[in-house]
Amino acid sequence: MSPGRSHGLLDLVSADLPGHVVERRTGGAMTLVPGAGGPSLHVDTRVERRFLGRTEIARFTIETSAPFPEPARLGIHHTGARHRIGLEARVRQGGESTERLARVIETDDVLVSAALPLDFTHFDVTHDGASWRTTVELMGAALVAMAFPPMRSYVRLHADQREALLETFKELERLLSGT
Amino acid sequence: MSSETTRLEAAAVGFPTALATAVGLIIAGSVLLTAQTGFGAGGWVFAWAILIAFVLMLAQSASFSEAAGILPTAGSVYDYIAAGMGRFWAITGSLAAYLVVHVFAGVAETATAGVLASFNFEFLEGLQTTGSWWIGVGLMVVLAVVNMLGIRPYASTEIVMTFVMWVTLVVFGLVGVLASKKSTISGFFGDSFVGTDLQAILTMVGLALFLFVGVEYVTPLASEMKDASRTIPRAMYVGVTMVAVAMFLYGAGVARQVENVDLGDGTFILDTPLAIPAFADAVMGDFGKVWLGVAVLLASAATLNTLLAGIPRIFYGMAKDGTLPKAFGYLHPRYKEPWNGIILVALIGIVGAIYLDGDIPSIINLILAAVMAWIFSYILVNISVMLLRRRRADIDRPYRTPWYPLPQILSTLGMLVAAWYIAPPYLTRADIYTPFFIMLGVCALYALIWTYGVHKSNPWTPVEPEQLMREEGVTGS
Repeated sequence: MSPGRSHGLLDLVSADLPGHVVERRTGGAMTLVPGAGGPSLHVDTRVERRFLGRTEIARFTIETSAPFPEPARLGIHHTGARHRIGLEARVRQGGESTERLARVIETDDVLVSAALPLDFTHFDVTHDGASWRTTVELMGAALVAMAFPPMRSYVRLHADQREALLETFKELERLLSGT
Repeated sequence: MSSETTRLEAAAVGFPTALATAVGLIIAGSVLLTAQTGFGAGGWVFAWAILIAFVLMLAQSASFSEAAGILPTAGSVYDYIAAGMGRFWAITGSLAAYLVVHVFAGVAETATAGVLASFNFEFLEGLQTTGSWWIGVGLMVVLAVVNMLGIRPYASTEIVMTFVMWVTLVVFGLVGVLASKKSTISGFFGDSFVGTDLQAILTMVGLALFLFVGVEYVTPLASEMKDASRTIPRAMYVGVTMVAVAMFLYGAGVARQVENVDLGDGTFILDTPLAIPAFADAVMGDFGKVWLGVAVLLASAATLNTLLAGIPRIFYGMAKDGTLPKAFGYLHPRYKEPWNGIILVALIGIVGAIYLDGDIPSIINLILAAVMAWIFSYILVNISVMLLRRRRADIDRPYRTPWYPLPQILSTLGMLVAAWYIAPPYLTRADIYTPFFIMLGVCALYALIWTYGVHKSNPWTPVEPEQLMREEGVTGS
């Protein structure tokens, strides 16, 4: 990026992902590929509107091609009353196979270790019959704009969050590929 | 894409947001209180002050539009000033513009919510002299809990809220102006009680500037824009104009429908928030009073809710950057909300509202001190735009200020005059300058310590835009 151009959230987020190259950019979404190899990262945005304020939030998605016996949807959450101690995978759609997968996610130490530092606000894992789709939203990688007080601020995707996100995606993909 | 299509698309993206912002701002408690105070004291003189503020804001919008086109984070005051004048001025200016204004905005809105509710609802009139802080504090506590639990309004709530506010403004504003006059005023806006000479007008410009406080918000997010170099300035000019029109409508409506009677103690009704329910009553009777009272209270609640949603997220980012304590980077494991940030924002509003206890002159003082902070940062942005033109003429500028440097000079001189005459006749400069300069001194001291001690850089050397982008992790691609 260079001075002399007004940049949106996608530009700012892609700049916070060094080592990733933008493979495709269409309207409000982009696909990045890691230079060192690995799954493509799809990034789009959604806007959360309030009275005299709005927040544009980046959504990070990876797709994992792997069969699964049933449509499934899980919501991933941290556990703990004051501090994070683990993961909980809540089954929103699916049967026994999905329940088993949920338990696997909760007890995989490597995945839990990767996801504990991640400041996610939404973390969904969905199988639509063809492939897995994992979508994460974070506290960072967001653009906040308010009328009163008048301000506009980009909350960065900091390096530790970037590493935690990529590591979490990598470990989850490992688990999902083995289903 | 044809240029005509581009213009239409640019207009379509900017106009609805500009309209929603103008409507929202006029009903936001502290802006409504300021408009009422200004028109009540100044009448047609305040109308002239709004016109002057309108011209200044048009000029200022040109500077912001040019700066927003150059640097990566559209709307980042720090970036603009650092590139133009160096880190000391950037930190001082952005702290004044952000942190100080956060405090003022949160306190002013919390306090005003209680004040206006005590005047709008008869069963709360016992709180008019003291105790109205209960209402604002109660609102803030409820909203803080809602945000801590991660409860978010449905997307449709925003649309419904904006529609209700818009209908409210249209009904009360247009009916107030077009219906038969109930007062005995001559002219549109009533008499001035602060004098009628040029100095009187200038003393009201500071208050008038506050009415335009949120106009930069009309700029859509960059991802919503197809042609930023057209959309940013167009949206801002439309927003400034719509706010001015909305304020004129409100001022004229109140003056035409509310007779400026003596309340018995030498105070006239237009000088107090009682003018607001009186205006609603004149337009639509008891139902109108309830309607406008509820709309104003909802607007205050919604504004506080937005503060509680947005500012803690920014505090989270600042904690990750190391500019705020790590505690503000904490997210509750279950609710995924930055609890410490939410609590701080709520506490600032609560403590301030209790301290002010509904004292309107003190609230106006606070608002004017916030205006001083904005004026200071606005002037720094203007200077930075001009310095960047000289030093870095090579940078691509998608939007170039028309008639440069006239808008920057006009806005800067106008803002300086507004700062000099910031105190309305019933206040002294010291009432406003003292808290402002104390806050500015604290910001400046922090800027020196941070640049010399922490960042270990020269605070006075302008930072090249490319270096700013590297430091912020915005690498070339």
